[in-house]
Amino acid sequence: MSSKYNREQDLLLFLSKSQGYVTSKELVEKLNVSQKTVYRLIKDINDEYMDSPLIISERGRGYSLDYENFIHYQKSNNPSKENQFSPSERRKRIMEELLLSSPKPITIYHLFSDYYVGDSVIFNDEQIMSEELKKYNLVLERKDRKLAILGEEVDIRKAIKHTNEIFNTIDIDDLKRNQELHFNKHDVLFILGQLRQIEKGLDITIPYPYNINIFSHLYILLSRSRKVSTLLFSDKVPTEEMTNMKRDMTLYPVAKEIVNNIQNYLNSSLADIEVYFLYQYLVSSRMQGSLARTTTFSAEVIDVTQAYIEGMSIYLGIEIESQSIFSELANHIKPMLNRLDYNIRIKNSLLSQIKVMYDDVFHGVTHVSEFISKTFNLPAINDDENGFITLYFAKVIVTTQYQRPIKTLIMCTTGIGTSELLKAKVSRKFPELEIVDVVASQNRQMLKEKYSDAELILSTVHIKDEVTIPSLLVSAMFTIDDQKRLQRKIEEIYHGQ
Amino acid sequence: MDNNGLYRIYVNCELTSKEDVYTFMSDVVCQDDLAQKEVVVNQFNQREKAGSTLIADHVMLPHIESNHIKNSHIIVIRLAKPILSWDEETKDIRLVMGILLKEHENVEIKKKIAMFTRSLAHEDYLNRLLTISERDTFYQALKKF
Repeated sequence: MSSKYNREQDLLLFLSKSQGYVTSKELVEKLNVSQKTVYRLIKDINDEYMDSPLIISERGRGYSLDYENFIHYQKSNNPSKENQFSPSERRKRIMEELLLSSPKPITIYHLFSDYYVGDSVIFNDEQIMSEELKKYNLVLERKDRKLAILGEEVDIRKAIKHTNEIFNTIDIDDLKRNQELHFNKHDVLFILGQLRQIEKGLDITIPYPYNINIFSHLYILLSRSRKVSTLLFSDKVPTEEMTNMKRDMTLYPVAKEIVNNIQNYLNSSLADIEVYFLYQYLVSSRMQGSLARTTTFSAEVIDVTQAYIEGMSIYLGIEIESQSIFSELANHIKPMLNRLDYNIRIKNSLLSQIKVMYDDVFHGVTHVSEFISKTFNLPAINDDENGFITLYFAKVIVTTQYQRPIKTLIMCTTGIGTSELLKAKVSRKFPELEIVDVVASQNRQMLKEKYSDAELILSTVHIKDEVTIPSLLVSAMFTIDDQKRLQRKIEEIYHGQ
Repeated sequence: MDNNGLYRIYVNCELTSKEDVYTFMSDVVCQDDLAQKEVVVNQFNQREKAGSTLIADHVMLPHIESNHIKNSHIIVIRLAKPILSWDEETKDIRLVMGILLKEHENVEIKKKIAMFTRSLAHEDYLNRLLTISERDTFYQALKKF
């Protein structure tokens, strides 16, 4: 279900970013799906959004988004359907219940009775859940009409976190107020208090989404501990890891203190391993503040950061002033390497938008990441991480503006007819053009003297005699086709230098 | 009628071809000078040859600058029936806005005209113009510029 949902989201995002109409062919290429799928996706989106179509189609032009409806749709997109669960939602809820109580078995009757489904559906659900759990190295066991999930505690927590989408979408400021989340209010307040204590103790702030990550970890810890005695955990931590942790005089005491607070809050004791679990989250988080502003990095962090900067500089074909980005990026890479080590995955909720907005940069980062994980012998760097790194390089591109504006003249017969109209349209859609003037075609002899530095002429009339300045004939309508040709011309000018 | 103003608005015009429209506009600006009319029509045709002046579906914006024009005008023509075939490529024209600029016109007027054309870049505004069929409403909508 998620891949279809993602495709719908990608399609909507792409349309929302596009000017005017987009042909179905473009959509096929962009989404890398068949024509048929595009039609079906659009139909499904429009069917689901009942009031009036979200995506407008027009014969011969293609598709375009009804913005007003789209904004409305985004606002109302938090599904709040009650008592009506799709098969995948049903499986998710059942799996969550099993995970929280693992390794305790629960009767099938208890698990499924709310959903009024037959034996064949139950059997089918078991198969699907079992497949899903394999990804986390967990096993779904059936015994005497009971189900249980078996495996290591680390894996169980990870599965809980990933199956519960709420943890990916919450906003920390929203936690206290949002009733729809169905969180235990007391737990939420307690954990937020603990987060504040961590930040205060270390004199830092933990930015989004790392704060959410720690929140989710603690929330799951509370829910788990109430269901199952922690003594049942079978996980073992290598002694070397433990000694390393205890040597960390900054984060280790904090982790210990927080776990202690949780024991008091729960009024029951927790396994020692909880300190280690929390410690892993802390070293994997990005922190902002005096402690975080490190200027000394380990050799590995420096090398990896440098490799990213060099790789991206080559890929993008631009000089990257390494000072401007190094320390920021290194401060990101440092906890990232810990995350890779501890196999902690942070959901990047902006990922789909990043992919659409900075398609090219993201592609480059993915490439460089592959190279880096090979060279430095690191675990594979996932798309969520690549998305974060993309933002650092996208920022470099935006702030350095390595593409200087192109000095452009706009021309028609009178200099105030279609050319003025064109100017208004062009300046809105092509901010990279600096429109120096709007001129009449009769006066083109004096163009060279007056605008010696002009690099491009956009004209709605055919320019007969040779003008040395590159020019492009466009229609006064400034159609999609015109825009594309102009885009190509701009690229030509940039690359011709 | 605001004869001294920049705008000339004609609604419900029974014109059926491009030639009709150009002749009509030349009538407006040159009144009874036949020779000058011909020059103006010719200029329109020349301009059209250099590049289409279709600015949006159903809307033409022919424009010329000429020493045969005494006063600059924007002539708005709301056709009674669409001109189905303006030329080979241009079909179904419903609204024509001609800009007839006097040669060496002063900057004040030029600015006004430029403001008007810029406003046409807004699709919503253009769509609204397309739906108006009363002269006064048209005038109200255009007066802003």
